[in-house]
Amino acid sequence: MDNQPKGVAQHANNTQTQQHFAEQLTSWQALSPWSIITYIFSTIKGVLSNGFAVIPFVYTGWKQGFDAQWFILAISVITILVSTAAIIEWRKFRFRLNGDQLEVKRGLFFTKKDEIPLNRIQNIRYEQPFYFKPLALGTLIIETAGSQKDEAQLAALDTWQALTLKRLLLKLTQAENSPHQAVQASIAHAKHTATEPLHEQHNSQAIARKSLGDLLMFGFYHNNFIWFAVIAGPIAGQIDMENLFDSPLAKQFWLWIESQTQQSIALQSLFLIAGIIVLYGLFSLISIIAAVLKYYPYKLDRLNDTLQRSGGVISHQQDALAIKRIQLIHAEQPVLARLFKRWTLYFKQVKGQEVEQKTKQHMLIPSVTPCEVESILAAMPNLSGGASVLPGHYNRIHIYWFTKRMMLPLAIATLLSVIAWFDGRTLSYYETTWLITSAVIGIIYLRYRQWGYVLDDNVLWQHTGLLGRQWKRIAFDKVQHVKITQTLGQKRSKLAYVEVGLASGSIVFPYIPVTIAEQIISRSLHAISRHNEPWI
Amino acid sequence: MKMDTNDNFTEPKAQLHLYRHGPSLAQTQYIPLAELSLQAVDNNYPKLLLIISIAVAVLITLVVSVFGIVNPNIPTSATLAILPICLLLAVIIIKLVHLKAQKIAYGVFEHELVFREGLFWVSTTALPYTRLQHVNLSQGPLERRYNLVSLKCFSAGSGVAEIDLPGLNADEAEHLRQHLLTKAGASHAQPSIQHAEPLTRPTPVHHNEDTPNG
Repeated sequence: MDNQPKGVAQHANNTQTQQHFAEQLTSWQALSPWSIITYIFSTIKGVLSNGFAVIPFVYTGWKQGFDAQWFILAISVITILVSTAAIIEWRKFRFRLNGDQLEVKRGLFFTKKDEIPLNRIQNIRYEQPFYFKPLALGTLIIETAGSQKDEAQLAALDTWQALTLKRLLLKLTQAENSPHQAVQASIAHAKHTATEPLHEQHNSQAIARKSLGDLLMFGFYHNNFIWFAVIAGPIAGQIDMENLFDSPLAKQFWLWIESQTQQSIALQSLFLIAGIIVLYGLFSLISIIAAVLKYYPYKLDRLNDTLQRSGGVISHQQDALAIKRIQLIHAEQPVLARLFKRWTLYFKQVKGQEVEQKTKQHMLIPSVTPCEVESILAAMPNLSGGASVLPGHYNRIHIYWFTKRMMLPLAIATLLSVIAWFDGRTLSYYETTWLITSAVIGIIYLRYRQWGYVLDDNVLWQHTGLLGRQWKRIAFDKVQHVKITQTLGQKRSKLAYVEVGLASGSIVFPYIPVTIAEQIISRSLHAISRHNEPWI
Repeated sequence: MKMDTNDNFTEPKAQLHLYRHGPSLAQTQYIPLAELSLQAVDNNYPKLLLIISIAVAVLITLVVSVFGIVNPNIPTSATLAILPICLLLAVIIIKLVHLKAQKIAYGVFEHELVFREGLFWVSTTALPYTRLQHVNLSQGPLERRYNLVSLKCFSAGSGVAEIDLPGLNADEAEHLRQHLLTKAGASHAQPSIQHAEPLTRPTPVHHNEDTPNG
């Protein structure tokens, strides 16, 4: 009973095998031997991602002389160790569906047994790494509330096994081709009337599709260029610039540019701009490739009450998220995206329970056009707050926010100038001081210009940004607490800070009129204090 | 509380027979959250903070003066000049700490717990019982001496307490905790249409009372 290999193989009759599989699940099951590959790859991945420290040693060893014999020996020892560990892992891995919980047993010396109650399962992810693609196998990752370690991975399931299991775990109604009666018989909890599944089959609805072009655009505007600049700056400083500029290639390049532009300033600046764009394109190439590999072909569907995203070139990923679990909708538009008029739409969950827990990633829709937003939200009927478009304009927060924040840099600059006056500094000192100060004040002003709110009956929007911009959409029935803060001065000018606490984090509205603050508070409390529906 | 009794006292005799409700309030006239009258924490709490801050101030002053006297490089006159400044600063800080402790207030309402704190930035928080995930009582050694506890209320998501209410009388706090838990439990236990919908039930994010979730 303990060692029933689950490689039941693909029979022509899907129905029978599926029924068979569902019945089998009640006793301990082993994974298919293919899962050994997964363990090997995950070990290698772990070693590689934690093994930066080894690189210098390897590098110096390489420089001192390469000993092929030792190298081969080391590689073979590592291979043997890793594969033995993987085989043991596979041999000792058992799982079963026992009534209301999924049980997973593993480990040779330290046996670990996890019991996961089905109602604690948050997300189920179906991943298909590249090495499983030709075999049509995949890994089911079951994430639960709580710590990251509370997750179970069932590797090397074939597609229909994964589907059956997913349905049983989520207690979903059956998908197509499945014999509902059989599953019903074996798993008492998946009780449905015979007619229900037929109705619900058609409940899968496409919400968003993104083409290759959209994803290319997404990669182009959504990247960590600033971080790259921060890292690349010091590295560029290490390179001997004089050597680079004196090299014949660079000289030729300059000559070519000079001959082309004929010393016209306009043409030269055009060249400069083109150069910057090419450079940025090179930087963003990484994020473009990453976006395509991760999301192409991007598909977001609604299946009953869950959102399902699938896609990925190298490893096929499938994320599921219950619509009722969405706490906050966040639309982001970096500077470059403003040119294309595209937004990235995030569905934020309870903090610490993101769809991709390891990377703390929320489910997102890349390059959304403004007019698409409403149809996307309208396609989710259970979304709290209902469908709505991105607001066209916002009420700005009070100008005092800006004037209060302007004081500090002004005071510092004045102080510096006074000290400099007594020191007898040169004019350029004052120039730099006041230039920096006005730049800082300019940035604060830009931030102030973008900071605003829109108050609706069911939702509250916050608009922020500096060069890019963001909308955050708060549904009042997802609020957890409200907090109003006032200083004496604010009280006199009838302004207040309001903090709206959500399970995905708190959102602050500074320097808004007291009347608006009170409306926000009363609408939130009205929506939540007497309604007991689960909100997370 | 005092206000109420006063009002009753000054009521005209005629109202004993025929009570006049006065004009009914428009919604805009309701008392806003920031102005709700709340209940102060235990009297011992400002006292405790006073004692602690005085002790800390004395300790710092002692260290400074000893250092000034022992170190031969610093003239005694400088030490003597610094001490009054130190003392003045200490008095101001102690006064502020004491005032801040006196300002802490809370209110237990039908549907929510309200908490107010702050001296210059006065902030008022409202946490409905329906959103209360767990309650935590803690007591330090000095608090034990004055029979005080602090109460923390957590909601989902962040690991930080939404309400951190110090200086409650220990006996009262236990009662309050029971009340909050019962209220929260009653609201969470409400049956809903969970059966038909998978993946939508409330997750037991907190599993025991000692670990803040998040």
